[in-house]
This record gives sequence, structure tokens and C-alpha cells, in this order.
Amino acid sequence: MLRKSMTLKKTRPRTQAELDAYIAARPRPVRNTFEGMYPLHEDLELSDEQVQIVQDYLQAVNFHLPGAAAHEFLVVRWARYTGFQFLQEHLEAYAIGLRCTHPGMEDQHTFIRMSWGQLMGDPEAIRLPVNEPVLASDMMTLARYRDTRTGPSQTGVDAYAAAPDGPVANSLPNSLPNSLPDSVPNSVPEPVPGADFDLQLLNGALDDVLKQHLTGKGREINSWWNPALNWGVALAGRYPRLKYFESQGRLDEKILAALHSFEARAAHAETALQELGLASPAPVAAAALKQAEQAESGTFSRRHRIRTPQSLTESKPEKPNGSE
Amino acid sequence: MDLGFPWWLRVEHFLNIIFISFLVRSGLEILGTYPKLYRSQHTVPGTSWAQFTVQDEPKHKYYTVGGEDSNYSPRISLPGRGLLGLGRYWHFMAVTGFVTCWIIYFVLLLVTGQWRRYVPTSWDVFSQAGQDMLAYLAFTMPHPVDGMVFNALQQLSYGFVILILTPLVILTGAFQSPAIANHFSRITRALGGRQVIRSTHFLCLVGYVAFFAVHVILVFMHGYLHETSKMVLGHSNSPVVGGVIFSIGLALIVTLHVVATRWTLADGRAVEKLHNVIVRPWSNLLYKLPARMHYDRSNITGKDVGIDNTTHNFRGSGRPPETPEYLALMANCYEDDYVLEIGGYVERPMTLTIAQLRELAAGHSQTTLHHCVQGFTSIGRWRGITVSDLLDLVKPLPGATDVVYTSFQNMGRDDVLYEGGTYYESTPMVEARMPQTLIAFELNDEGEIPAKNGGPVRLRLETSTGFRSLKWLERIEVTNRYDIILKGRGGFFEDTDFYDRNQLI
Repeated sequence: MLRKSMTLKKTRPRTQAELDAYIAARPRPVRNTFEGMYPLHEDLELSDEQVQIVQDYLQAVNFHLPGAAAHEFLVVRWARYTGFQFLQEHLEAYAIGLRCTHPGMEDQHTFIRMSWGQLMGDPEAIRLPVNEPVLASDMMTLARYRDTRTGPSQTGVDAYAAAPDGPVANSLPNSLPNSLPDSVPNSVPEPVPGADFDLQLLNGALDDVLKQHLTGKGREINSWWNPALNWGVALAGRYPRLKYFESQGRLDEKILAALHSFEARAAHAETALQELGLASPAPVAAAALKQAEQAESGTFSRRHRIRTPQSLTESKPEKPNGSE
Repeated sequence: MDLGFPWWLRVEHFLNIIFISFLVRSGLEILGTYPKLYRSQHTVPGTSWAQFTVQDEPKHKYYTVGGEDSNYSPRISLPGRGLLGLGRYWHFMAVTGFVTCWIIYFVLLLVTGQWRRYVPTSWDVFSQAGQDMLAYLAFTMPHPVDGMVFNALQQLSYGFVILILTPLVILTGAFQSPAIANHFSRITRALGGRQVIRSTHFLCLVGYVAFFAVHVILVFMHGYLHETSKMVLGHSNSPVVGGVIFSIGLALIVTLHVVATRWTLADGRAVEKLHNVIVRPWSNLLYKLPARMHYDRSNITGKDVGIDNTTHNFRGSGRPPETPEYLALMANCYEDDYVLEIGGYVERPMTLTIAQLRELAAGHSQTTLHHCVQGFTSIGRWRGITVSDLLDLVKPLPGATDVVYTSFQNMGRDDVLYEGGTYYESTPMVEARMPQTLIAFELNDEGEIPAKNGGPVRLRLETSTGFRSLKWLERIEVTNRYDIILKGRGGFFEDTDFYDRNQLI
């Protein structure tokens, strides 16, 4: 069992030899995982010569992460053939993982797209469009909430049990009141782990809802979907959590003030929530506390939750006064 | 004993015309979304023993099962146009009526002694049936057996349909259910495996259609008015009256099909509500059947399960994320850039790397049969940690009811077939707590989960059809409701299409 959080970043490979050993130790598929299908190529284990080809190509196209140079990369020798599994990738395309060696940026991982012919050393080989130097960690949709550029500094089962002055506590949203108490009274209970991260997610979800509302696209499915999803999930989980702990007197004043600030923002956004067909915090909180009370008194049955409840968000938004 | 045609038998005959015709049409809808039949549970592309599509697969690009479907016309299937979810709704509603009807009918046959009309009490019936067959081939009408209402061939064929074909179609239908098949996994294997069961179910359909065709021809050969009058009035003393009433009944059934098809295409949600009223009362009972599939009998002794029986090319539905960030994640072997967030309505939220998940899982694996809602199967050995174990770590708060899973697959971006955004799913706590509900990070001892199968981390719900086993998992959020999330039905396809969150069948 993991009792303490771990920061694997500190133990990651820092030299090409370390990276080679690290990658070589990883299991690989040993069978035909596309049996019955016909990919043109397969994943490649890059030789020293091929690693040099990659390094030369990086220099040739000046591929670099912002703040670093093209020569500051380690090359992942397990080159992935992407031309088969990804519709938008060229049939000859490979993705080669790159790990930055620039001091302070060792956690930043990206890739370069190259063709099979290039990796084979064919000077006439097709050259594919050079991709942007994106970070692998940016695939995480919560990346914007994390305390480091490449993800959370604390992970593990106790990831949120950090000290109050830890990185998470220092990342409360800008929208929080400025007049928060500087010191925590002695009577304040033990901090609720992750309460500040809950508030970040709630405020971030509300920000996205408001942005969607400002675009005027309403419930246009492709742009509405993610703000609505994140809002609904946060309101069905993170928010009831905070309300529950508030009812138990377990939130310190700083978090409490931040929670009330969020609620005030949400109340102010009531029109936007209604027009986008989204739930409002106040009734959600009341229902959550009632449900928790029933659960604690043994009168709540989960069984009914396997039936389909009436959707609270499906009704069409009311038209503003004066509109047709 | 005068067997005759008692009223309950005539009612059952009429109801069966309705139920079976609905079952056949909705069954074709289901077949159409994966119009290929296999013997092997691995469903290796190119090895089907029958297929009902002319669609070509791309040669050098990976294709998902989602792209292998065929849209049949609403004139043939119910409701047509590739609306699998609605076809399933009709199939299960018809199943409810059909099975109920058959059970009542079976009991009445036993109680009233009417079973004699279908069960031969003498070996002579078989030789007589042969002679009857010859008579039919000579375009002459064989006579009924003494004391019976049918001739010997009719007796055997009706008996086969009612007492053999029907139980077989019910059994093979029941084992299409992932909850049933993975709970009674030994029976699944004893029946030849999921694809043999599926093929048998299809052959039962063929059997019904063939029987229906011959049956109708014989009715006409024996005299339409004469025969249908028996099915309406119980006798043939007033053949015109009986025949007219029967014909009106048939016209009503045709009208029923037309109305049902148009209604379904116009208002699928109304059909969904009807389905929930009829089917949910019994399909919810399947939550009592946790999956306990291990694709190796030796596992019951506690031995580790080998990968010999697993599928090499584990098929998939849904496209991996088409973003450069995902390619970067994959090219760097996922491990050092990925974190799984577990929070929501819990005491202790957490963020776990794959290495930490691996450590928590302590080598746990399960080798299970994947049931795609379209029909394909694959067998995979999944390494991971059960959701139940994770829930024990995060400690859901009082009143927690559901677990929501979100992916970094964006449907509108990644899959030309769909619109919308982030894929998500939810499970009621009872399903989340099942022993084979798993957060998996490795398939078939290959070190990771391939991109096409949901790498780096995915959900496995062995009691549900496959689309609910969310791939490319990023977040797990415990909640105390799900009706306020998006359209309130508990998942991407539940919200945007016509699929029940209860996918145990």
C-alpha cells in the first residue's frame, strides 16, 4: 500500500543510456495484435544510427520546446507506428518520443513525426508535416489546474494531504476574496484534503460555462458538451462534498469563504445556467444534504439509482422575454 | 381426449405472430450493426462464416467495429437506419411478451394435457411423418393421426418449434446478455462460446422464418379459410367468418408494424420510456449477477490465468484521440505523463500515476470475455485494480450513489461518426462495486493497453455491453446523482443515442 505520495519525476531517466535501459525494460507485444488486418509497418526499435537520424532531423527542422534547443532531447527508442491506428496520420507516419534535457525542463516530453523511409535512412523518403512541440502531459484535461507545467507535484493516495502551504493550497483561483484570514484559528478542524482543488474545478467549470454562454452558441452540441459535462460532474460530486463537510463543520474559514464566493458567482450566473440547461447549486446542495442525512440515518436506499431518474437538464431553456 | 383448439391456444397463436414478427425485425436491426457471424470468440477479421454486408474494410487503416455496420431499410428491420439502441428496445420488449407467453403456454399445455398435441406418444409417428412428407411432395394432403388435430408431420414440426426451437432461442438469447454470460461463464463455454451462441441464435431466427414460410404454404394447401377459422373460432364450421376475422387480425399486425416503425423513427424517447416500463423491472434484477468470468477453469483453484486463450487482435469500437498530445503521450510510453484523478463525493481524493496504480493492484488480473453491443467478442487478460478497491481507498461519503468516468476521447473530434465532446460513462454503485469492475492499465501482458483499446488506462465493466467500458480514462468522480450531468441519462451514448444505462442485456 502506498502511504506517502511519490514524485516519480525525480527518478526519471536523465541520460540517453538511462532512458534506453528504462524503455528496454518495458514489455512489448510479442504477438500479432492486428491479426486479420494489414498495417503497412510495425513499431520499430531504433538503432544507434536511427537515433542519430532522429537527432539530425530535429536539428534540420529546428524542432525544440519553447525555452530549449533542438539538440536538448533524449530519443525514445520504441518508435510508434501511427499510420495504422490513427485516421489522420499518414500511412508512413511514426511518432518518436522525445524527452527534454534542458535544465528545469526534464519533465517535458514531446514527440516528432517522421516517416518510415526517413527512419530507414532513405534520403529520398517522404517528409511529413512537422508537428507542434506539444507536451504529452497536456493530454490531461486537468493540466490547467495542476501546480506544475507537467502535472501535479504530488501524487499517490495521500496526494491531497499536503501541508496547508503546499503547492495546492497556493493555487486557489483568482476569484477568491482578498480578505481571507491570514492565520488559521486553533479550533479549526483538520483540513479537508483536496477541498481547494474541488474549488478550483468548480470555479473552472463555472468559467467555462460562462464562456460558452458569452459565445451565444447556447446548446450547440460540440461547444456546449464539455462545459456542461464538467459542470454537471463537479456539481454532482465536488460540490456536494464541500457542502457535506460544511454541514459537518469541517471546512476552515479560508475554504468556507471560497465556497461561498463560488456560490455567489454561481447565483450571479443563474440566467446563463438556465439558458444552457444546467443545474444550479442551491437546489443541488439542499438535495445532497438531505440525501446524506438519510444515508446516515439508514433510511436511504441506493437501489432506486439503478432506475433512470427524470433528467433535470434535458428540458429546453426558457426563451428570454421578448424573443420569439 | 378431444384436443381441439382451446381459446388460450388461439390467443397464444395470435400473440406469437405479433411477438415473433417484432423479434425477427428488431433482431435483423441488431444483426445489421455487426452483420457477420463467427465460430470463434476472437472474431478475427476475415474469418466470419457468414456475412450480410457488402461493405469493404480499409486495407491499411485500422477500422473499428463501429464502421462495420450496415443500415437496413425500415421496411425490413425495426426501426431500420442503423438505430441499434431502438432495435434493442423493441427486441427486449418483444422478448418480455414472448417469453411470458411461452411460459404460460407451456404450463397450460402440461396442466390441460394438451402437450399430447406436440409430443409423439408412439415411435410410429416418425415413420408416419415420413409418409406425410412424401404425400406433400406428391401434392396430396395427408390425414391427421387418429384422435389428433394434426397429421404426424405437423405434430413433429410444431412440437419441434414449440418445445425445442423456442427454448433454444430463449437460452441463446439469454446468453447474449453479458451479465448472464459472464456470471454463468461455464455454461457460456459449454454452449460453445459467445459467437457459437450468437450464430445459433441467428439460426433459430432462420428456423422460425423457414417454419413460417412452410407453415403459410401448408395453410393455403389445406385451405386458408378452413385452417384460419380453426385459429380464430376453434372450429371450421364457419370458415368465411373465421377467415375474414383472421385476415383482419393480420392486417392489424401489419398496421402495428408500420405504426411502431414510424413512431420509433419519429420519437425514440417515447419508445425508450415504454421500454423502461416493460423491461427495467426484470433487467434490473440482473444487477444481482456479478461477473465471475475467468477464461480458464484452472483459475478456480487460485492458479494464475495464462494468456494462451486471449485474443491477439482485441477488437475495438471508437477511435483513439486524434491529437498530437496523445501521440506524444503514447510515444513516451504513457507512464511518466499520465495521472488518474479520483475524487468527487469522497472523503479522500487522490491522484495516481500508472506506477502507483500498478503497485496498488498488486498483480491482480482478470481474463474475461468482452461483449460488444454490436456483437463482436474478444478475450482479454486485463491487469488492474478493482473500482471497489479504489472506492475503499477514497471512501465515498454518505449518500454516494454513482461513479462517473470521463475520458480524454472527444467524440466530435476523434470519430467522424459522432458529435459532442468528452466521452463519459457512469455506473450505479452496485455495478461499480462488482468484483470484476476494473480500472485496467495492461492488456495481455503487453506492458500497456494499445491505443485502439483505450490506453493508457480504461474501465472494464464485465457485466455490461462493451461501450460502457470507457476507454482512455482520465477521471473518476464519485457522485450522489447523475441526472444533472449533461442530458441526465448517465453516459455519452445514453445521452446522444438510445441506449439504456442498464446494459446488462
